[in-house]
Amino acid sequence: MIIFLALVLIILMILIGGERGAVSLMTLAGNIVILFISILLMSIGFPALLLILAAGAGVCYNSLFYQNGNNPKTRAAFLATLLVMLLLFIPIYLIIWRSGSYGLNELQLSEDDFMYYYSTDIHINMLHVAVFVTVFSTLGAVIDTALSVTSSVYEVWTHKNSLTAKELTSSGYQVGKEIIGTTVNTLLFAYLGGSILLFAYVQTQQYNLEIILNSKFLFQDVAIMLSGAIACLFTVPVSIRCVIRQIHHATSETDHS
Amino acid sequence: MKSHLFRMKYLLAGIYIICVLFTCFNARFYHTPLAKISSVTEKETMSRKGTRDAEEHYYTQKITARILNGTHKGEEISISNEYTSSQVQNQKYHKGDTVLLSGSRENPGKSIRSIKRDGYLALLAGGLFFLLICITGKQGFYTIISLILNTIIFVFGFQAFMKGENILNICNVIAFLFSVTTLICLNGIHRKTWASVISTICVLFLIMALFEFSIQFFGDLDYSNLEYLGSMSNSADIFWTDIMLTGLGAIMDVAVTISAATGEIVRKNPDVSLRKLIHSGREIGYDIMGTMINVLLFVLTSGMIPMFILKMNNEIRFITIIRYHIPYDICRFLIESIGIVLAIPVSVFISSIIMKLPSLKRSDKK
Repeated sequence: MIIFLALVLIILMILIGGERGAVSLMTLAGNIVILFISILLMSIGFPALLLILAAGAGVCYNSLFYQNGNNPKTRAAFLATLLVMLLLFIPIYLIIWRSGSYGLNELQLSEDDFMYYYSTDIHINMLHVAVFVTVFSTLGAVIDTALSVTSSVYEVWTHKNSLTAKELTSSGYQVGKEIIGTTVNTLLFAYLGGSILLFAYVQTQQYNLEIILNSKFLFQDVAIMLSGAIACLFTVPVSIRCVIRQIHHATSETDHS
Repeated sequence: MKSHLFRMKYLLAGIYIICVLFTCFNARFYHTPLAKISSVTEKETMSRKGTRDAEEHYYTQKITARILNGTHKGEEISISNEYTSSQVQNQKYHKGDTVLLSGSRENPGKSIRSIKRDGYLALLAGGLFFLLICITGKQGFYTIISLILNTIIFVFGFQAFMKGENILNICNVIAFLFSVTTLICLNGIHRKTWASVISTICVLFLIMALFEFSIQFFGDLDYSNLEYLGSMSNSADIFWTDIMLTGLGAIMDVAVTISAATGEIVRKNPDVSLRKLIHSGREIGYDIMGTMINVLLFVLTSGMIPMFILKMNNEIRFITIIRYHIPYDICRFLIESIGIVLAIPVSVFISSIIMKLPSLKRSDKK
């Protein structure tokens, strides 16, 4: 069944997207490979915090430069994504550390498999793994936002070279406004859809509201969703700055030559 | 006008800070006993060989904590806690953490149930709302309304499901409500809104038909390994809803982008031909297809990483996990990706026709 669905996806992507569909497909495959390699490395004890940087840069490079070519737009988006990741890394680390939302949650722990069969002496710091998970889950949405903002600001600039940095910024914010709403809702639905079983399970367990509000199973997923949305919001101003800097860079280069 | 907006931001920041501070000091409203950790001493009790022959250290913490509510308020209690260096099952507590105790208000008990996390929840949610309004202004306000309305619809649907109504019926109704409320909140009542609603529903219908078809032909998935299954009997139906709702946001995203773009083209150039409109709609579609699928890839897969790591350290092979432990996640991801790809031609077609309808009618009259 999975093979059938995968085939349908591949055929549709190539049929509908043509050549660019095939390129997107390769990018997707590349990202999946990066994800798998980082899981493998982490499970043999490679430090997760180092992996965030390496794998994050790898994913950015793959989805921006391979998919969309090397041009000022993608360079600005690459820079913006890395900046946002570095910027949010510390608050994410602090919140996960202080709120203790790493490791297995209460419900996973009460499953038989983990209670009896599995050894949890794995000598891998789960805090670092949780930071990796949170940063990585925001990555896709951040790249999406950054690329939309930088490419539309750049398009505006190529149509009208005389625009000042201020006007470009305001047009960038205009684009940002339009995409943020749907991106936030995309994240919300991805969370709600995936958590139906969790909610049903919690309901049968008769937890009271206080316990649910403070529980790890709620916080882990909600934190991923919220930090993804916050990261997208931060991306808008950062990527506007980056693309304007790239534009200045390009104009000064053409001036010299 | 400018200063008015400025003042508004300060007001919002004030409300935000007050909300976060409130959640830090709301112990008196809790029925569960709370305690604030005032000092921690720890010592290593043992270490033994774990998986991969790595040394795993065990620590015991002696915690002194002050009770914050209930009849024993203000008293100090001592708690002991054990954790390991990888902190998979239990965790290390720090000085200054507020924790929920396992007992009742009258008898607080001697063990920690969990860390108090509602403050962090308020910090993140409030931060999101604040930034939404600061960065995107009015649009952010509508986004917040759509988020709240969607959550309310979800809760209502969920309550109905718990009362024993058929989950598939509920799911169809709430999927429709979700798309209508979200799109109206984000776009306003406008022709392109209806275009995106219709295309979203068409795409949902298509992917669910595809899912049903593949179940009929290739056999259903074995749902017994599904996470959090508990005592649920209708796991196939729940998984169906799961698939339907997870991708809804992404499909709406594509539909909105395309219908907004075609609407813009028609507005700038009302005489554009249908063929040309469809062509430029497709161009936009290619641009967003790849990145949208990547968004879903990272959102859906990264949550499984801790489980992967744990299982692979317990001598379960990578291939085994993929084949037996996460086929649901793979299946979900594939169906949603197909939905995104299908959303492009469907919404290009529908929004082009809807946008061109008035001009077509006019040309008929002529």
